[in-house]
Amino acid sequence: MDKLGLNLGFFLFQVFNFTVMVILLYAWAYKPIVRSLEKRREKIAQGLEDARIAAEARANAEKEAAKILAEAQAKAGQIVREATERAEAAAKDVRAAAEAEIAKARESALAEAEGERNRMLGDLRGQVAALAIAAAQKLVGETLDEKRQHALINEFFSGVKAGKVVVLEGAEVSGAAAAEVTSALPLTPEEQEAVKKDVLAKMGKQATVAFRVDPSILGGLVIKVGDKVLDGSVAAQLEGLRQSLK
Amino acid sequence: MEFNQFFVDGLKLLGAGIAMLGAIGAGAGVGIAASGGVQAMGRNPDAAPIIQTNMILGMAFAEAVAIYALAVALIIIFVG
Amino acid sequence: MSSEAKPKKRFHIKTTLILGLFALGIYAAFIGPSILKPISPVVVLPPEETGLKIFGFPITNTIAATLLADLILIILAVSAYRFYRQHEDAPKGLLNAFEAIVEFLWNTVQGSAGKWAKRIMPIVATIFLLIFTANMVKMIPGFESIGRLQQVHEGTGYAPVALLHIGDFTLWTIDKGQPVEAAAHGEAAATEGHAAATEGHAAEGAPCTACEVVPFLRGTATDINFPFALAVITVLLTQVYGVWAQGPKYFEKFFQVKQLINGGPFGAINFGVGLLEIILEFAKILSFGFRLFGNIFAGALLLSIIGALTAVAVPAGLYLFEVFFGIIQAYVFFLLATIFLSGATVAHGHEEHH
Repeated sequence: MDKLGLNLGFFLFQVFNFTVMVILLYAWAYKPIVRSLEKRREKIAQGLEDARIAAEARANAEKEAAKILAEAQAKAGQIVREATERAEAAAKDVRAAAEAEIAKARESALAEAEGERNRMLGDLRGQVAALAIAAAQKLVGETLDEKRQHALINEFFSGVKAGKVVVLEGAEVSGAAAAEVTSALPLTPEEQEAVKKDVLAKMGKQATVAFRVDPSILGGLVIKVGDKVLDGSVAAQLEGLRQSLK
Repeated sequence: MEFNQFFVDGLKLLGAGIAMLGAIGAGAGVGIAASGGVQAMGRNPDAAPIIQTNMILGMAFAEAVAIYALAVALIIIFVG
Repeated sequence: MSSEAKPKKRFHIKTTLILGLFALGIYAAFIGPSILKPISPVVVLPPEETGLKIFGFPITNTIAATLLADLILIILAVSAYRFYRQHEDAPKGLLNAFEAIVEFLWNTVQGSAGKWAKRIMPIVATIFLLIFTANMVKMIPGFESIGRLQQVHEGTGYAPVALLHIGDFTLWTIDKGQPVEAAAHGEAAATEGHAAATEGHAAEGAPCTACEVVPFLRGTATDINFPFALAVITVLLTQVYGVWAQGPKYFEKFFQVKQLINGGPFGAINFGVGLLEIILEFAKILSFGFRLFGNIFAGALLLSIIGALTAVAVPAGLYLFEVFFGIIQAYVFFLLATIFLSGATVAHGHEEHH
């Protein structure tokens, strides 16, 4: 073994050297370095832990913020919806009011127009009567005095003879709630009163009577009661005459 | 006598050389261990430290054979 | 611009330096006088004595190198100690590298030894640092080349040539161009006379006629005592730690009496295997020691032989290779020691119960 270089003295020197080095390095190097490493590792772990906590807190804050934001958005949405609804309702009201106004205006305009026409027809009535009387005088001579003529004409137009409605003579009307009286020219208040009284006497006190003007019936009265029409108009009589002449 | 001495010296060196043939197997073994270790580490890089430790352990055992061969060769040359 | 120019300038300086060294090497090896030519080394296994003695204990060149490595480690350790007494943060420079190495070792030991890491760490870390430093110190120029001249007793030596006189001290070198047969051989006297005649006054005061260089410093691991000392310590400590951790139960690994009594025929085989483990422990010493020794010695041998054959450029690459092997061997020795030591602290067959 000597030739390989194995020598007890040198061997023991190496063992001794190693032992000394272990002790020295342990005392001067490993202990302080490992302690420092552990300390640093702890510090890093602490830092990581702190960072984790901070991150958690931040996540929580973010969640909170998101929640608040969502709530705010929901509230805002609700407010907007309510406002929209309210606005729509208001708009509807306004529109309805406007429509009502318009309808009212139209109605009143119509009524006015009707009244105007009735007034004009009423004005015309006197002239038509005068013309008719003049023409009849030309035709039949002066057989009729003017008063009688007027009465005749009035009777012609109003269909009211001696305070009685001609059409209603012998007619059976009852049960209906409303009656509509149509004349060729507007009736005078007295005539209207007479017609009304007559009709009401026939139908009962509760019924209502409306008056219309329709020049196309030429004369007389058409009384519509419920589903029944009592046609005492001149136009109908003329039609009946034409039918019988055929 | 002198011729014999030369002859013996030559045979010693030859013997030492033949003894080192044992290094062939160790070389192959170390190569296989390294190959397997590297493949395993490639497949599972997470386990690299454990694989590396075991690989070096295996390589050390494989290499030990070559070391015995070296010891024999050295003893033949310098001691025998 | 100046910041760009500076590295470029340095690069040029380095390139010139390297090329100059190459040219010098070529000149020395092939063109110049024979005195500059590299000489094939003398292969010696045992450490050579440098002539120094401390308390009668001869200091061999490998012991000198060991002491040099010790010195470096102690300087590092002391500066580390002084640094960590005052600071808590990481140091700078060389100490940082030292700390990084220790940290790496600590992590490895912790990974394999667990709670025994603190007790195993000093042993294995010292193994690593000692081998590592010794292997790195070996790379310093002057190692295995500067030494004293010694008379060759057999084979061929070379004539000494005086290079430099400083007072009484003379710096010698040996001349490859003047091989001198050792005196032990037959015609040695004639050659010696011839050499003496040609040398004339130059050989005056020379310690020898046919000389070889005995270096003052030689790689520690090329001395078989060093790796074997570490190997024996490791294997012995393995037993010590085993007993420390497990008590007498540790020896059940070797003498599996329970298996022999209860295990039947396979128990007997297991008992035999247990006995083989004892042999394995001794084999561990052998493989530990020879692995480190073989690698480093072969590296040193390769370096000097290749250095003698091709003096230029190739040894530089081999030196790099040597650095690599120095680290690897230190790591392997450290890792195996860690595994064996930490393995001893865990009960044998502990894994089998899981």
